[in-house]
Formats: sequence, structure tokens, C-alpha cells
Amino acid sequence: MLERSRIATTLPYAAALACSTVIAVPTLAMATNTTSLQHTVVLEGLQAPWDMAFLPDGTMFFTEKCHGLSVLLPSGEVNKLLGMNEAEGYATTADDLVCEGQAGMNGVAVDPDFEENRRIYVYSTSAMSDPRTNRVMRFEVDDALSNVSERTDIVDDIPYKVAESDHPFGGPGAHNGGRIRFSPGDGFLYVTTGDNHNSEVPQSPTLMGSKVLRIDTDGNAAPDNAPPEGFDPRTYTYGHRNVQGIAFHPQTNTPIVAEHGPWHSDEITVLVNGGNGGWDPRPNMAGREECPDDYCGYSPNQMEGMNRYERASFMPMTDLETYPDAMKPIWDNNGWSQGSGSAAFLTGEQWGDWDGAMVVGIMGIGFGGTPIGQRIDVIQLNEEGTEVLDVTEMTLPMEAGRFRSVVQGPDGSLYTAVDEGMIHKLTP
Amino acid sequence: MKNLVLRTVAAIMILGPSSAFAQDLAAGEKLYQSTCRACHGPSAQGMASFPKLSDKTEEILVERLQTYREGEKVGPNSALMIPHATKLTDEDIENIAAYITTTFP
Repeated sequence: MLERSRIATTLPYAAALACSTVIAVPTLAMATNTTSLQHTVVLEGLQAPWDMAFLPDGTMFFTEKCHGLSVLLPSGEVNKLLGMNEAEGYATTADDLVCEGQAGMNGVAVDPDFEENRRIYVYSTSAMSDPRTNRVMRFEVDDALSNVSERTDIVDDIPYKVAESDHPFGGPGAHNGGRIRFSPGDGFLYVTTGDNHNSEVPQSPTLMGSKVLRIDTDGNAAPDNAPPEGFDPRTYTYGHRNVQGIAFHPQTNTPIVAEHGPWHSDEITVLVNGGNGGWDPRPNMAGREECPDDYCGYSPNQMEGMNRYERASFMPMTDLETYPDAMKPIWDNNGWSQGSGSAAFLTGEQWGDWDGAMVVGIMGIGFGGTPIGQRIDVIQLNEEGTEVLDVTEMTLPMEAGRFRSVVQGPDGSLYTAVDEGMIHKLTP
Repeated sequence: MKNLVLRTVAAIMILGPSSAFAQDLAAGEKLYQSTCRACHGPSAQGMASFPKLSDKTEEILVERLQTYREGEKVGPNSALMIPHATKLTDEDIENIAAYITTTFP
């Protein structure tokens, strides 16, 4: 793996322009100057914007973690569609939808056949069951894009962390996963989930945390899912820690995830049907003894900084000794954990050398000497999408923030939501 | 002459503390921006798992930072807070608390 490069390698715009006049450099060469991004604030003053999904005309559905689902119309008007418990001003309110800690209303996805069926999907924590769970709900949006109806909970059993435990970020709602995306290749819905600080979840065949589910629009397992025998058939991959980023390679449609590391090693992993992510924080195994509240995920020293490679040796993000066939990550953020929370691919000639590159939004965590690292990384892969060739920190035209979501819009721009309450548009 | 002295003393009494307070807020702002903002937000509004600070009193903020500085665990974010608080002096803590409560009331 190459060391990350902090220096953009492209020519400044003026230099590229000068070259083009003298030696007639093709237009595409000018477009390689992807360090000169235009910036627009699309929305601000939001409450923890978490995810976005677009229609072809630029209509943007977006979620706010503790408020609900809204839509930004091309006219600039915002319609508040689905409110959570105690949220005000929404066309429809669902009192069972709740937020706490990292949990709440998370991912949103538009049905590939939206034009025909008006369907939209949302991942949210719900109090309808006891204990609470995370659900994936399907709705129909009216023609005026002013309301939703026909709620159908297509998944209702994704575990939620109900009680505080003795861990960093140990409050209820921790490690909640929450991204949902349709594959442009197979058309199935992929749902990413987290381990809830529960060490039994990642390798469990039946608990649907720490998994990537692959399902149809009714919540049924994709027929070709190939998890080990005895696993819930909705399982596409398992043994993850807390996946919040998933994107599909633009040439191969292979799903690739970005995942938070445990005080070390944020990872990008190319998924293999039925594969094991190799995360197993159970005590009394793999050389470990007892751990706080039976979860070794931050051990051996969960409250103080220490060498990240020693940590990785004690509690690996991908345990290839215990699970030699686990999916190996193609990137580990140089061993740091800084909060890799979302992923997307840039496509289109407007991105120049970055056409086909993956972008990962990093929220920043300053713990124990770790650089906070709020940024968007541009990760260039080989043609097959199986290896990282280069990593460049995007030169931002605005202040960095906690980059919660990155999504390419139908206009070819990159949209990013930050926990600070804004959705930005970056245009090359 | 006597009136001039009295006026000068009065001006110092009025302006002196005010100037000193402004300096404290500037120091608090510098610390907030460099240490607190990335997690608690540009308006101390709280983000993700990191709590809102703008609704806390100055006394609570000071007490909580002092507790973290002693290495005592309070809540699920102690692992992040203790190392930051350990570096703070009494004056730093007062400046940060004053900045938050004054700027984001």
C-alpha cells in the first residue's frame, strides 16, 4: 500500500491554462485540476444531517438524525416529509422513530424504479419493539413530493444498543451502522449495520448487527447470498465493526465498504459474497482475557493513548490469525482511527484524474495523540478496484468538518453532509 | 486636578475589568477553537455523540473540566475528555467556560 500523499500532484489552474494555449493540451487535461473545487452551501442550520439520495432532476432527499426525512426540490423549497418522535412541522410523524447517541434516522435510498413506484427507503431506530431495534422502512412519496405514505418495515430486527456500557462512546445507540444503498449492478438493497458494543454480534449467525445485508425491496434475502451455513440468509458479509460507508465500483459494481476502526485502523474493504470482516471483540480468545463489559473492542487500554500498531496486534480490526480467510482491507488509514464514515465514487470527465476514484469522508477523532484528521480522502484504485494506488487529501474550498456523508449528485458534483449542520456541494 | 484623578480612577475601575475580561474571552476562544470545536461544534451545539455545551452554566462547565482533569470518568466520552483536560490550567478552564457561556448563551 502506498503512503498517503498530502500534496496534490496536479498543475495549478493558471499553469494548466497556459499549457493548453501553447501546446493545445486536450480539454480533459485541464480538468485534471481537481484541486480547484467550486463550493456551494446547499443547506445549513440542519440538525445532524446524515444522508442524502437524489432523483435525476436534482431533487435531494435528506435525513436529519433526530428530526426526520425531508426533500429539497430543484426550486429550492424544502418539504418536511417524515418526522420522528417530537419533531414538528412534518407532513407525517412516526412516533416510534427515536434518536439517541449515534442512532436515529440514518440512511436514505431511492428505489431504482422510483419513476414507476415512487418508493423510498429509510433506516431508523424505532421504539416499536421492546427492546428497540433499527428498521429499514419503505415509503411511497406523493407526486407533489410533499408527503410519504404506505409505510412498510422491510427489516425490523437490526440490533440497537439499549444501555450504556463501560467503553468510549459507550452510551446507548453506539455502533449503529445505518447506510443503505442500491447496487447499480444487481439492483439489491445493501444495508450496513454495527456491533452495538456487543462482542457476540459480529460473528453471530443470527444477530443482524455487524453485517452487510443484501435484500430485495420487500426485505427478502437476495437469492445468491452465500453466508456460511446456519447464517441468516439476508447476510451478504459479516464480522464487521461499524460500517457507515458503502459504495459500488463504477466498472465492476463490486460493493466496497469504509469502516470505523477501534482507536486504530479505519479500513476500506472490497466485499466478497459470504465473506467475514474478521472483527471479533469477544473476551477470552485470541490471546485476550477479560475485558470491560465483555467487549474487547478498545482494549488493551481503552481510556489512554498508546501505539496504534500495538493496539492492532492485541485487538485487530481484521483478525487474520483467527480467521485466515477473512476479507483483507485494501486501506487502513496508515493505522489511524479517525472516523471513516462514508464513501462514494466520483465519476465523469469533469473530475479529471479523479474520474473513477473513491472518496471517503472522515469525521475526525482526536484521541491519544491521533491527529484529528477531518477531511475527504480521494482514493485511487486499480482498474479492477481491488488495490489502492494512491491517496490524496482533497483540497477543500471551505472549512473542514465532520464529514458524515458523501454522495455524488446527478449533476456530477460531490455533495457532503457535515455534523455541523450543513450540506455542501463541491464542483470541479 | 483632584477631579482628573477621580475621573481616571473611575475610568480604570470601569474599563480595567472590562479589558481583562475581553482578554480572557480571547484566550478561551483560542482554546475552544483548537481543542473543543471539532467535537462540540462551532456553536457549542453538540454533534454526534458529543454533547451540547451551550445550554450549560459556567459553573457546570468548570466543575466538569476540573473533574476530567483529575482523571475521573464521567460519562461515555471520558476517554476523549481526560487527555484534553489534563493539559488545562485553572485559568484555561475559566476562560473556556466564560467563552462558551458568553458567546453561545
